[in-house]
Amino acid sequence: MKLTLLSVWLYLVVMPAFSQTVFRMDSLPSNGVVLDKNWKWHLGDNPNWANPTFDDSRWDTINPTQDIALVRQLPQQGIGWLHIHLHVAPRLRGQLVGIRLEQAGATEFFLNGKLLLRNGKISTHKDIQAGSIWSDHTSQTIQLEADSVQFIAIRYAFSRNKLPINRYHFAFFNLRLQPIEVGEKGELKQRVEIVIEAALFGVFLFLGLLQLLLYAVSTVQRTALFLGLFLVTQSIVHFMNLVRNGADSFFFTLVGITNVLAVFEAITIGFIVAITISTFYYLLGIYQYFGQPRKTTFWAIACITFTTIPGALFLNYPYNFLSQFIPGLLIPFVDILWIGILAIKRKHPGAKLFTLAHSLVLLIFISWTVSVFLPNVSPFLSENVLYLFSISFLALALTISLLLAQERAAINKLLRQQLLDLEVLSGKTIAQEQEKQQILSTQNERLEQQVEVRTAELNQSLTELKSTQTQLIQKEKLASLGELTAGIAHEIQNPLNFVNNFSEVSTELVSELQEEETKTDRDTELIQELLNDLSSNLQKINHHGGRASSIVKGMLEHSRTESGEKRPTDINALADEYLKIAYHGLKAKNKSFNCELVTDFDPTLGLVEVAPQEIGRVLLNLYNNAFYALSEKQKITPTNYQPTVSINTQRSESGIEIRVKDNGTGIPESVKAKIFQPFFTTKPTGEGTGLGLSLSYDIITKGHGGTLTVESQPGSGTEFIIHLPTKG
Amino acid sequence: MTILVVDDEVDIKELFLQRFRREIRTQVLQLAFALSAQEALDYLDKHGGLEILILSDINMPGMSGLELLRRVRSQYPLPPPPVIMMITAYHDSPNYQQAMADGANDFLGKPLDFNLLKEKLKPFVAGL
Repeated sequence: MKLTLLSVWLYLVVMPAFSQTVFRMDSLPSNGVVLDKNWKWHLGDNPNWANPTFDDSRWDTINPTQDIALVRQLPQQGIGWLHIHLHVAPRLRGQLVGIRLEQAGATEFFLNGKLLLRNGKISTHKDIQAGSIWSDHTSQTIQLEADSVQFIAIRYAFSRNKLPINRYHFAFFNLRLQPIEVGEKGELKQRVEIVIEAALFGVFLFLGLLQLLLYAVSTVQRTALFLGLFLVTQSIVHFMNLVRNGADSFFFTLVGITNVLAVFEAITIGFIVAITISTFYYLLGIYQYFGQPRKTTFWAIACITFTTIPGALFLNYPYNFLSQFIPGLLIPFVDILWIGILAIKRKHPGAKLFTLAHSLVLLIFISWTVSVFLPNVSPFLSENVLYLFSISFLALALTISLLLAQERAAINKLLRQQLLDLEVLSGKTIAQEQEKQQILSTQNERLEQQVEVRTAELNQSLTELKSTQTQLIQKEKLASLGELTAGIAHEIQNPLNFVNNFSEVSTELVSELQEEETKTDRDTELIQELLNDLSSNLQKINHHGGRASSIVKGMLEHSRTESGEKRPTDINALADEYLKIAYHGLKAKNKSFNCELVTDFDPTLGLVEVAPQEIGRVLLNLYNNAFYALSEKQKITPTNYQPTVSINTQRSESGIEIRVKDNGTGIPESVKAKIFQPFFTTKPTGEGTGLGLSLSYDIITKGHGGTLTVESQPGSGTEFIIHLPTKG
Repeated sequence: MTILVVDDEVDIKELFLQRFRREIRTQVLQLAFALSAQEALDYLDKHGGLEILILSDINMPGMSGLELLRRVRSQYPLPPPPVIMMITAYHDSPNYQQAMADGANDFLGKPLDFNLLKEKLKPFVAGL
């Protein structure tokens, strides 16, 4: 670069002194002659300037082969003329020579005032003066004339507009004269390249899109996605190559691009980006395909690829080449080779074929790299590297597609197998389900049967329990009857005593009367007295007989099992009667027992609608409990204790109240809650059924809609309160 | 001789008066009545020096006949101690034994057999 700058500088400084000097072309070597000095340049446009006789001695001297960016005389775009005088060696005069042209615009080629060639299209349009073309490889020729000095004039419409990257170097105007065979060969080669690139582009694009399409249909195969993207981006690489190579021949003229440098640069950038992404997807796809875990190595290589390849844009040749291809491509390719080898070791089915294809690409890639730097090592390789490269790449693309197809087939097979397995499995599941269902229903049936049996058993038990309960209630009644017997006996003995004795006395009185009748001096006073006594006695007999019969009746009523009918009852009389019965009953059993009976009956109580024998049973029960409590207390407090049972009847707001109070042992708080429970008793075993208070509670609450409550102070006594509602 | 009849039955008075009508008329004996043991004790307090024979029921509200018996035996050791006969509807063995142990002179059941009573009174009542 420095050398170039130096030569330009020398040229610019030295050349004006040798103005009108000609460019000497003494021979035409196979690599041609570049016309790189003795050029004159003038901005502007004049048809006269094509004339060989025009004096251009005042025009600027220029070396147009230099980078367009460095040509200081130029505006961004415009039209100007280049002149050169060519001294042609005698044997070359009148010969047909090929020309090879690099330019950044459109040109018209004049030889000795005659227009010979047009490259691109010079537009005279107001705004855009330059048509554009990039002419590199051509088989264009010119017929040199017979003169020793020949005059070449170039009418040149140019544009220097580039992309901001501005790192790609273009010559302003590079004209090379060469033997015509070279040009023909070059053009052929270029055509072949275009065909090859187009073919590669097509194949890669087709295969890539196919993979992506297949992936889109079923997203199972991730490899297809990655390698499909690799193939597609690779097709873009080839497309860019295609466009670049075909730049002069077809496309640029075809589409009339006005800003060739920018387009070219854009294509180059696209090419670089496509290579970068393509390489990355290749790496990714192969990692995926061989199931290689993507760890640090992978990401490090990906980073290298992403940084080095685009970095090529900012470097000059050959450094950019070094930075781009050696680390950016070679490292991932070597890594992929290594992964392929690992996969072969693991006996991965596609590994061998892939590694072979990849090795081929890598080998040719290395060879190509070498050939670029050392073109003379193998001329064959240098000349044919493109074909080899294309073949190897094509082979790689096909291999990859084949492997993906195989993989897909394997996946499909696996899926089909899984589907079959699934069908078998679901069949089994359904069978099991049905079996379970059957078991379940069988169990349900069995359960139902068991439940029925149990229910029947329970019903049986319930019936037995009910009958037992009835029996128990009956027993309780009989038990209380038993307790009564003694009291009743006493109660009957007393009236019987009167009945017997008054009737006996009455018999005596009658015989006395008869005796008196026989007397002549009848004592009428005595007769009257006897008759009075007799009458009174009969009344008493009647009274006490009735008393005895009512006691018997009460006893019968008490022993009845069914609930008695309700009828208006003198509660006071009932309470009193049962009190006596209870008391005497106890006395009969326990001679030493003694207690005070205090009755306080409300005379205004009147008749109350109750079932008398039921209420009697309740009262009897309460009395017995009271007496029991008293006798219990008597056992522990021998002296100064006057056992007392108080019966009190009174009206209340909604009915009547019967209070049975004793000053016995009282009921402990812990027992109080349980006393109305069936079978709860504090009496020694065999002495109480535990049903007394329970039955009483039922009689009062259920039978009469009343309440039976208890108030008790342990140690000082208990009071039971019966509340019976009265009608109205 | 006064016979104190202790019983809570009111009609017992009429019965005794009629049964012993002749004896009363001939003044062989006198009858007194108490409706409870306490009344009997009050009577004894009032007529302490008289010749009294007590016929007492056992089963009575309040103080029982046996208690009365015990009290009389402990509180009235007068010479001669009063004859006490117990009358009860419960003329069973334990009652009898208890009464005799407590110092009863005799024991009679209900219904009362007045002929038997008179036989039993004969040793204590002159002229019966």
